[in-house]
Amino acid sequence: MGRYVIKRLLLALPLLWFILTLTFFLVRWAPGKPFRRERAIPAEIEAHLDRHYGLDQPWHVQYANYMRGLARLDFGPSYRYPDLTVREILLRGVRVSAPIGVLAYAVALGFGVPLGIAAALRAESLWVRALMGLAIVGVSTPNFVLGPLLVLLFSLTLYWVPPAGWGEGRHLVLPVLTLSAAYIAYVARLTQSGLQRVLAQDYVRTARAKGVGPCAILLRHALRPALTPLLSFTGPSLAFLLAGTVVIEEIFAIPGLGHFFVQAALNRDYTLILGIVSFTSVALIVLNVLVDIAIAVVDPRVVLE
Amino acid sequence: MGGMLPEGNMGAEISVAGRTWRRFRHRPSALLAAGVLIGLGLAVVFGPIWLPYGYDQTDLELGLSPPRLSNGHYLGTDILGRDLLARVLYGGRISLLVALVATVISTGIGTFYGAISGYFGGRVDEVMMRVVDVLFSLPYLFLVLVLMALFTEPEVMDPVIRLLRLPPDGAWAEWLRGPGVRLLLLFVALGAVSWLTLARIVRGQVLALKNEPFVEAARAAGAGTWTILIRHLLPNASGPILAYTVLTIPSVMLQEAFISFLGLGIQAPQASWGTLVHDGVQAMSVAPWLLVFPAGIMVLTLLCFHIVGETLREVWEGSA
Repeated sequence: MGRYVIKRLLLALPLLWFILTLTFFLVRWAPGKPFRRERAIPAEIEAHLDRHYGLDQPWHVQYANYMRGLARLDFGPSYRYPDLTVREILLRGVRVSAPIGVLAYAVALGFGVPLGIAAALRAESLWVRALMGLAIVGVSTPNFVLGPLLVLLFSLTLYWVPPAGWGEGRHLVLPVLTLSAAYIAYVARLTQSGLQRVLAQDYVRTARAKGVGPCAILLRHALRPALTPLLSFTGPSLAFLLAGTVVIEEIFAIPGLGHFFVQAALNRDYTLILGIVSFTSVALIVLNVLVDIAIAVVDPRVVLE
Repeated sequence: MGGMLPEGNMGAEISVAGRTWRRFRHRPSALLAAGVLIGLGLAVVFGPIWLPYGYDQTDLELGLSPPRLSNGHYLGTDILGRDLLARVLYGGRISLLVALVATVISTGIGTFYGAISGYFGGRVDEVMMRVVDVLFSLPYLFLVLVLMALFTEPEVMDPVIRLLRLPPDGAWAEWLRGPGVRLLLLFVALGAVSWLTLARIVRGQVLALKNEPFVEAARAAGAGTWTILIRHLLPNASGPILAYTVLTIPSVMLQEAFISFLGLGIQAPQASWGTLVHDGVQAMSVAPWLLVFPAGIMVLTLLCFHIVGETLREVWEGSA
């Protein structure tokens, strides 16, 4: 087990290097310069800024410097927020974005799994069919449509929760609801199809023939293998969740990682872009390794090699 | 649900379209969804021709007019007095165009990649599928956003203009340097990141089919690798490929809208459903129709593509 984890993480290193290098050169090749804005600045000042940030050096020196910095978890200074380092911005952003993402995922599991179980067991019930129909609509409703509609309803019409802002618990309600809506639907459908497949298998029939009650079959025999597809979906869904937070933070004016990322992209803040991409890549790779381990723990048929 | 359809012996010489239609036509919800999509497609393509207003035609006297029949602005106007119906139809052209072109690109990559991986098997397959696993967990939308933010400059198109030998100050070159950059970048970027699921599906199909007797027969008759792949294996996998291609359309459409919503995709005065929803959100407390109509038509389109795609998937699952 321990060896497997180490091996997986070591295999992730070349991938990480690839992403960082790709992003580094994407950003370098891009037309335009980081300090050229609509208002032109004098050439000497621009040259001075370039020299200060090491942008006048040949690209391979810049690349080596950047990589050396990364190894020390030093992402360099932000070009646009001169009094902050990229690391400080990352830490600030994560502290805001992570709770939203985790809560949204928990809400999705909390509602989606029971709904999926109900759909697998009582496929013909009218309630279940109505809810699953709603789930398809949920999948088709982009979060940037759902979010504003929820604001329109709960904030601007009913005055239950604030429409935007950050700092208090009630600011979390609408963002988490918006972000989790599509996942509830995904989770429900994955649970349903997984459970239906397991329930059709021989060992479940055997258990039933031996007189095991439906609840015991579900909880002791069927649910665990049925949830593996859900777990393997976690990797891609975390990537989507991250992308989702970008939109959510724009809509609800939340100062998280996604918000900083859009600002950095619009401002050509090279180091901040690189910092956020590398940070999210590391986070995704580590989480995916954890997911693979979790699958092996849940499903004894999977052997880690 | 797929199993209850009358299969029977329908003879070997029915095309994929024919076989799909035979199974598809028994699903009322899918037929309805397909009908809605065809209607929307026609409206988007031909509607603007008959509308009295252009998508960028402003009328400041009539700014923020609510939907009404009397003044000819059936869906109302935006803050600059532009007709919302014209903008929704025009935006639909862009949204559908991006979705379709990017889907065609991604289907091409995914089919090619999956077919090679499945056909050659062994180490090649292992490495190629490992790459797909890895790409699945990349924050690739972040990379697309970086691309859209940094590369949408007029000079990016200069090599393309030179390559196509267009006159550098002609109308085409001007279009390419303006709205064309963003459109082309969206095609390429979204097409390049949407092929992963399809590659897995095609690989599975090819893997399952490649040891069948008819492939053996083709090989014995002297057919080369490419002939076997293109003439014998892929046509037999075309049902699932079709299903996942249709399912790719709404996801690409969603990504385009997401990018445009953030202000990094299509730019004013051009419009896509993503930018229209963005404008609608800005104005929703004073002019809710600006949010409701674009959002509604986008959700309807996505929903219909999902229904059609899911039905095709059910119809073809386990049958190929």
